[in-house]
Amino acid sequence: MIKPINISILVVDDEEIVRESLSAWFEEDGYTVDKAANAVEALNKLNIRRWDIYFIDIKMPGIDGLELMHRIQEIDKEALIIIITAYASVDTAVQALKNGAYDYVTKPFDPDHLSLLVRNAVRQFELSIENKQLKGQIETLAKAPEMIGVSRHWNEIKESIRIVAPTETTVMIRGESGTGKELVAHSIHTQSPRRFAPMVTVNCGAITDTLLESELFGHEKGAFTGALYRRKGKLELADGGTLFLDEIGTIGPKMQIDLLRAIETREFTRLGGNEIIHSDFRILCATNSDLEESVKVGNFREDLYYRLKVFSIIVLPLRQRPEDIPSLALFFLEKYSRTMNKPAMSISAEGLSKLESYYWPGNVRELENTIESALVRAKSHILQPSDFFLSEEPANNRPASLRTMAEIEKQHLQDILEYTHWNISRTARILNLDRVTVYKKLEKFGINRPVNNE
Amino acid sequence: MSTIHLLTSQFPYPKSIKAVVGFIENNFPCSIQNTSGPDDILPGFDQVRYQYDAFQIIRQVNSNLPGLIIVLCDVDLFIPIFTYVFGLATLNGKAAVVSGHRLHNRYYGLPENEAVFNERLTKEILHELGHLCGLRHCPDYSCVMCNSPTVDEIDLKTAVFCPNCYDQLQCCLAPNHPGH
Repeated sequence: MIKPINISILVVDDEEIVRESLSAWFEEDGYTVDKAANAVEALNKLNIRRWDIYFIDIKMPGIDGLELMHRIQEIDKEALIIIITAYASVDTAVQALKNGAYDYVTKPFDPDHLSLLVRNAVRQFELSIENKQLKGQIETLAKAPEMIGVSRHWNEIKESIRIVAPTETTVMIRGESGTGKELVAHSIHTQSPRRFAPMVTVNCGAITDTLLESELFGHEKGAFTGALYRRKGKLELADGGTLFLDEIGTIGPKMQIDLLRAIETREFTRLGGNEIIHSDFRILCATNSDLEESVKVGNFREDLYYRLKVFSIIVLPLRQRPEDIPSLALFFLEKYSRTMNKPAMSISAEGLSKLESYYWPGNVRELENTIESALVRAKSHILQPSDFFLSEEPANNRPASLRTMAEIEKQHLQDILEYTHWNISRTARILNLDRVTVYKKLEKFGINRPVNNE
Repeated sequence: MSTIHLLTSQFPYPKSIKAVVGFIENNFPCSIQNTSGPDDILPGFDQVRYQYDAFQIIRQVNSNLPGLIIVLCDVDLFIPIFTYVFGLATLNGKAAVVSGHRLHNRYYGLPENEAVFNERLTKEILHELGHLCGLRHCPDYSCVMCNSPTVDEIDLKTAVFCPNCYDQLQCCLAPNHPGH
């Protein structure tokens, strides 16, 4: 809701008749009006208060109107200044406009023209206030996205974001696919001074290098076959904001050179164009690949690497921070319950346990999909382990630290049997067990002697 | 529930219409009646510019229809002071026009992408609908009411009204709104 505004006007003119008539006319229209006979009086009054709109005569003894305008602008950059001139002097008017005057008006005034001028000036002022108020409202809209997680690692990431967001530093976010790298980027952007301008995302891995060039730099009409209209590139769109380059490790050698130049100079041309485009953007990038290895083997330029890797944030895979799983699961549960119009849902302790023990190769994205899918299938308001369909991850694909005792025992037994060429007695001696127990374990784990191993 | 008339003319993309209508009806308190007109119905063709005058199209719309009206076409639109427009609506007016012409990837030398086209079309229709409901351009770059003079800026914003704009839109789309 935009608050109504009471406009105040200051009339500065050495002619009393002009001051008095204008003031009376403005007061009839409901404006608050004050007067000054010369620039010095106006500046003295400015020490005490400001006005929204200034009517200033250009020709006054002592400090003239243009100089007064300049001084007012030093005090109040947003002052709306209308110059009064007795001559229809184009040069003076143009100079005033070039120096930032809102408009000019010639004496004697045409009442109709003056009405329109004041109406427009008032509207301009109101728009400026409205803009500020809207920006204040946008402050709440441009708030950082929710960073769900309770692990020490996640809290460290939040602290890193808090530190680096207000700066202009380039940030490289690293982590497996689905860990939340874009979320981190978004959080940095919305906590930065650039939050009122867009964060423009380019998924470098999803586009071929040929298309990526146009995507990043844009192209002019006729730049290539079929290009009937000009297109702005993402670098241009990100002006004033943030450019997020996802999967940066996938871009080809030529693109790396062009990108490095654009990042260093903040200048580029569109494909097929000559005009140099300037764009002021902050860079965030992300990768799930081993960039250091790519640099070593020559697939990624070292200079670009160091240009991008100024500040690193590493996002660990979900399996390495299982304490984040319950809060994430409940967050997604609430999100999808709302969109699916389901009554208050919860997850049983056994269900949570199943989620916490899973490997999550797809990380947070996979967890989100699992919760959504479980909600679709759910037959009651409490999600059970059977509601979660998790892919069977082969035990020996998982690191030993994440296997169950039974899995570890089975694998060890198989290893020893292979070592002893299925000599049960020798296997029993190595494992410090009796033969009967070894046979029982073979039966328990379903381990059969291989056919060719007699 | 408010009714919005979608009058299609010279718009040969039935799947896109279905996608757009489905999205809007699922997310906003309105129902859309889609009527397709004969292909020669569009007025305002300018022989010199080889474009259609958006003002003339809006003026020719039958204002006897209840509810708001959006003319959907695929011809290149202009208004005299601009080289092109994606669409046009009068603030708090009755009718708007939206063209899919400059929303196609192929005109930018890129592979055609139906999903991208549908998304852009949805945003432009919502944007002009917002103007019909009295909404001005929004400074929030993600709001569908953000001014987007190029197709790239259309891609940047979402098909969502920010909370402030949505509040105003809801009032306009209420069944007892005087405009309907």
